[in-house]
Amino acid sequence: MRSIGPIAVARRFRDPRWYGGAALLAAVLLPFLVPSSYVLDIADDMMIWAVLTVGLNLVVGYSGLLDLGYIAFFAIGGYTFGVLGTKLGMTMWESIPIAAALVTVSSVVIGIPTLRLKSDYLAIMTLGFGEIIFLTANNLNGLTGGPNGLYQMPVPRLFGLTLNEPGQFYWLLLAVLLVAVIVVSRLRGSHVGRAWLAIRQDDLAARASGVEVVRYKLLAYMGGAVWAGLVGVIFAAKQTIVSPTSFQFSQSFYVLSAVIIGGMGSVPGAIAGGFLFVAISECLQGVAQTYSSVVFSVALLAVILLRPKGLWPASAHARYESAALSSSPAVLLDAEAAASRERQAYPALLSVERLSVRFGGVQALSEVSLSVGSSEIVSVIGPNGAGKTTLLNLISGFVRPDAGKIEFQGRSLSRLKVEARARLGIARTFQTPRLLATLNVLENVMQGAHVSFTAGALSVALGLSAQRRRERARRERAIEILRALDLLPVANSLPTQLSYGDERRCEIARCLALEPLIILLDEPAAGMSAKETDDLGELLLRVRSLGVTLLLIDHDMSLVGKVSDRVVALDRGTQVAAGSVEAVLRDPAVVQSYLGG
Amino acid sequence: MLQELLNGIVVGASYTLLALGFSIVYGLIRLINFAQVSLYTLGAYLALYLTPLFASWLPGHGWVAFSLSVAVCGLLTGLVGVLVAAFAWWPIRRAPTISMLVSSLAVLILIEALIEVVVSPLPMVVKVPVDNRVHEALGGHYSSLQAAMLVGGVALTFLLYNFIRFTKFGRAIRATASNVDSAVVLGVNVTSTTFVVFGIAGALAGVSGVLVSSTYGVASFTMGEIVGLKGFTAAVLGGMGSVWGAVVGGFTLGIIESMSTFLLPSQWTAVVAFGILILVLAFRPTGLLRTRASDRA
Amino acid sequence: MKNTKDRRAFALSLGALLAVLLAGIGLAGCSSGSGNDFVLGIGLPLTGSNASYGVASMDSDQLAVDYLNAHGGILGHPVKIVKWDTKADPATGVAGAQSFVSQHVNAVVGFFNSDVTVPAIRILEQANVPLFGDNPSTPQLASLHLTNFVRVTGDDALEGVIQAQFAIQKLKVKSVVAIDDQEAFGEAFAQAFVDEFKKDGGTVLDHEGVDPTANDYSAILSKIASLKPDLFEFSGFYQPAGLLVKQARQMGIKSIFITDSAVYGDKYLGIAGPAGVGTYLTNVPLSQESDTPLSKYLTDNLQSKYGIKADGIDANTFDAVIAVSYAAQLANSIAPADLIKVMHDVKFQGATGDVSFLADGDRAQVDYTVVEVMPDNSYKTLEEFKEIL
Repeated sequence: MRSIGPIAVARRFRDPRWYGGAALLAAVLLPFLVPSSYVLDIADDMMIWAVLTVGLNLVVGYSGLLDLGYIAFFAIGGYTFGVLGTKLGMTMWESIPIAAALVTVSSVVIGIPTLRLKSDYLAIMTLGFGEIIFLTANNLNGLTGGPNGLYQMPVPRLFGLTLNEPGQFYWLLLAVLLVAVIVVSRLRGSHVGRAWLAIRQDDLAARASGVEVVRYKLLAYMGGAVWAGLVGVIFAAKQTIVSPTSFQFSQSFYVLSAVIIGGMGSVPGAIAGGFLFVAISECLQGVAQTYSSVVFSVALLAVILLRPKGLWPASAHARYESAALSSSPAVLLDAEAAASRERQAYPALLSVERLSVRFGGVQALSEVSLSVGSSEIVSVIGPNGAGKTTLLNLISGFVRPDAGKIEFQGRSLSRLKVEARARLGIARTFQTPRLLATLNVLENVMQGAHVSFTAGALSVALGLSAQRRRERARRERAIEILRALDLLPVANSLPTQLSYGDERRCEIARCLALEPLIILLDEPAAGMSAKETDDLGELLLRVRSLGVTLLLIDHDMSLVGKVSDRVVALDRGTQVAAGSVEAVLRDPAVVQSYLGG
Repeated sequence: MLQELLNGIVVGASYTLLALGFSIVYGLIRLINFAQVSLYTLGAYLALYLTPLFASWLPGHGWVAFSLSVAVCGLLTGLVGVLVAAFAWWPIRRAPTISMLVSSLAVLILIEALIEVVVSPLPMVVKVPVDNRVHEALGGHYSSLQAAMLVGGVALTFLLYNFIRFTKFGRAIRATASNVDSAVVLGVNVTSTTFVVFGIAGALAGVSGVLVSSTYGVASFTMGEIVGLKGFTAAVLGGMGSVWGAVVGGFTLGIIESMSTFLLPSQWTAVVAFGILILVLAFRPTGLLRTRASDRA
Repeated sequence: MKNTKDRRAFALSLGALLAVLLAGIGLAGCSSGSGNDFVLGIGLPLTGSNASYGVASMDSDQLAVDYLNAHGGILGHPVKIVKWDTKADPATGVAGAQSFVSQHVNAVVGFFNSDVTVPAIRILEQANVPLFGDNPSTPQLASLHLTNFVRVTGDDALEGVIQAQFAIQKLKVKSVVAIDDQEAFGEAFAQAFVDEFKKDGGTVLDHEGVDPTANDYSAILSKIASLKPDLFEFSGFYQPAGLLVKQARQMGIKSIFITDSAVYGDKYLGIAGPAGVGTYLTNVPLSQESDTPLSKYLTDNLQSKYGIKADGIDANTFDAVIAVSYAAQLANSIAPADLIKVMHDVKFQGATGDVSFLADGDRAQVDYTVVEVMPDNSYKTLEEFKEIL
């Protein structure tokens, strides 16, 4: 396998370090090989675009926020330098931090009211925002120079060199692009990036793993905006003019389409998309001037229809290399992490009192009470529509009760959101598995460990060693968990490639990664073979022996009978029986409810 | 003020037809279908050739010829709408909405560019074979074609509303819009429903394009861009996915613009319109008309 | 694993495609005519929202080049056009300027839009390539102290001033509402008009901007109706001008209407219809009756070859190309650097009248006329102004 052959070369090419290094080398050599200022000017434009696409990729590709007004931040950056440069004589370097601050503030102002809503509304709000920025630039003659724009900004200087030629901006832009790529890739490879991808694919699963959805959306929106603002300043300096025509809606659309063409969520794809966009429109100048829009739109359609995932689709980030396999027994739960949680003796870990909720005209749950002690396995059974899943939704916080209270470790949960409850150590699985489709199994599990990351996006971006160590430690943990659940062979597979049983176990692995105190399991054995169910039972017992409490819903009475300490039976929202397994299963009311279904 | 109100209503009628198109497609498949903006332009350009043709067939019956032209252009753009759905939506119906959106915008650019290349980049003067008299009413002046535009807009809206409300097909649309899975269970052919809705949206856009270009006497290949954005804004303002939402949004936007032009420097009209849109969404995210529950689909 | 193989293959082919495209750009940058040609770079908005003006301007440029080539080219060198579509976007214009430089053009004519011209001209200045401006008319261009720049168009301010003087002195109006299209040209023009109108003792009741792509102007017009001005003025291009005056008359607004040279032409009359009759326009003196040979050549050929009635924009573009050939004759060289040395001394009688330039690149003498639309849909010249700076 280690021999140097075409396969090995091709395999290395897959490694970003190789093709990234090759691309960087080409970029460094370009000005020496082709010292034409025309070509370098095009190269400058390509890099400006690539910074924009890499930034927007963070917003759209990672977090799934449909931003139709991205160019507004580019405009804010450009006009910041335009206004400060012409009115106050400030330099490009002095304008950059001010532009960054303005962009951040405006992204927060537009983001906070919007990001609570569905993604579609963000599309509309950002579109409106983009138009407002464009029109304001066009109308505020005194400040922005109106339609004529602003020029005669101070020419930027760097190390005593004046920057006024494409060849000089080339190095600055290359550096900015490089930093953007490094920062965005780092974010992608961290819990921040995983949280974004989780939000994009399934924000319920994201919340259940403890991701504060609105906060992370805002972070993505801001994180994308900052790049546009930064490169906007440089764009203005390179152009020597800022005028409204550079910032029309069509520009926002072109950046977006470059991201889609490249491949949503893929950094190399975003760069390729940005490069291609500029290169193609440049080439069309020579070949088909009047038909350029026709050719461009047909090409765009062709890419979207033939390769809907883009030219260079996103690939999994963390991969499990088999060489790292150790032979020591697998550790299911990080004892240290678990011990660090508050573990006092409560009469019950979780107690539910007289809980009621109505959906429309249906009383889904009425006055259900239940208490689960530490290290207990309690099962909830009942026919379909009995309110079992509703009970789980109430405990994990997806549904708010009309009456009654839920206490965890003696503390009321009623004011806490889903993600805050996850932080307390309440993990859950879903009736239909909600794995994150574009993350591989290993990354899914690492995403499940979201709450154990404390670092902010900034320390991720800076690549601080504490954060890197934590990331590595979590990765080891995730591998341990996968090993314990016999999932290692599929660690690099996508959830769609898994068998149903593996999918179920992967969900449990995600829960374990959270280092939970209690796991709420919603029909984990559904769709499993008898053998798999049996193994699952063993696994649940092992998990419990480590001090984790389980609240289990299942129809499989062999599983329920095997693992449960106690059983609670529900029917049509009310509790019909509770007690030991044997007693409940023999209870006439329970028998009746199953038969009468 | 009455005059401004009426001006707003006339402009609002043209927004409404586009808003309806946006709204019904969005309601069905959650796609902001920008492609229909190009059908607005296409409608206007088709009428450029068809109206004089029909007028030459029916000399002396200007209004009949014009109405015929409106209907035929609407039919043709409706067909193009179905084609757009077949080529630019159907193959990627399972892709993320964002890809559909970009594909839809690509169609918009393509059709505009084709008009630019095939016809002309210059604005075209549109002549209509009717006696376009100016009437004085309610303290304002309105041309016959403006009245026709208003009547046409209102009539089409009623037609669409009753179509969706009372026909079998309309029920299929509503079922699909509220829940695709249960619509399938109910025996609705979701695919053909979607194609027809694309067609209806295309026809509405085309008719709107013919009416507007004929009323004001000019057509250009970029004529749809600003109006399209306004129509979309109107749809959102009223509440995407509902017929009455589009109507309320369209007329509200027309009136807001008219009032704002009268009260403030007119260069800020569009800023006011978009500002109100953002405020409405921030405080009433599902638009003026829709309730939260119906958005849960 | 088919997936990753597929992806790898695609990444490779993507890289190859990019390389081919880059090579294409590199080649495009190097290709130019044979050594004997006079290569003329022409940058115009050929597609996008300003395409209607760019395409018409291109026709005039082509006619001018045909004219030169029919008369032996420039100093015996055949003139070859290299086109660049600016899309009315400054960044694309900069790329165009770079492309011209790398193709070793002898001179550039362009770029129609002022905001495209400003950044592009710096590139050309650094490379010592002359720019003969066609229609970039913002007053600020002269203040940039450019050495490689002249423009045929007068600046916006000048025409606005003349329009205001005509209105006060000849039309005897006291009050005005000015409207512009919120674009570079219309905005600056209206400001100059408004300032001069006030200076000459008139009252400016209101100055507003409208969206030039709108169809319905009833909102702004009812505002005008309530102000009852003697005059209402529009600065911008023909489509909004025609729609405004048509709808104003429909609404019963009787105020006199005056507009600018960019409106002049058939399209305005077509859109305005009967409402256009009796309206006034300032214009650069170019019409069928004009007697310079070049203006006759331009009007006749634009009409016969392209079916366009020549207007001021076309004439400016045309003269910009002609000015290049005069500069070459003066320098007795076609080297760009030599052209720059003499470009300010060019003098000739062009389609726009007597063309000569000041040291800052502005036109030394701009002729304007004021025309009125006659009931038979023709333009009648009322006044001629010779503004010598």
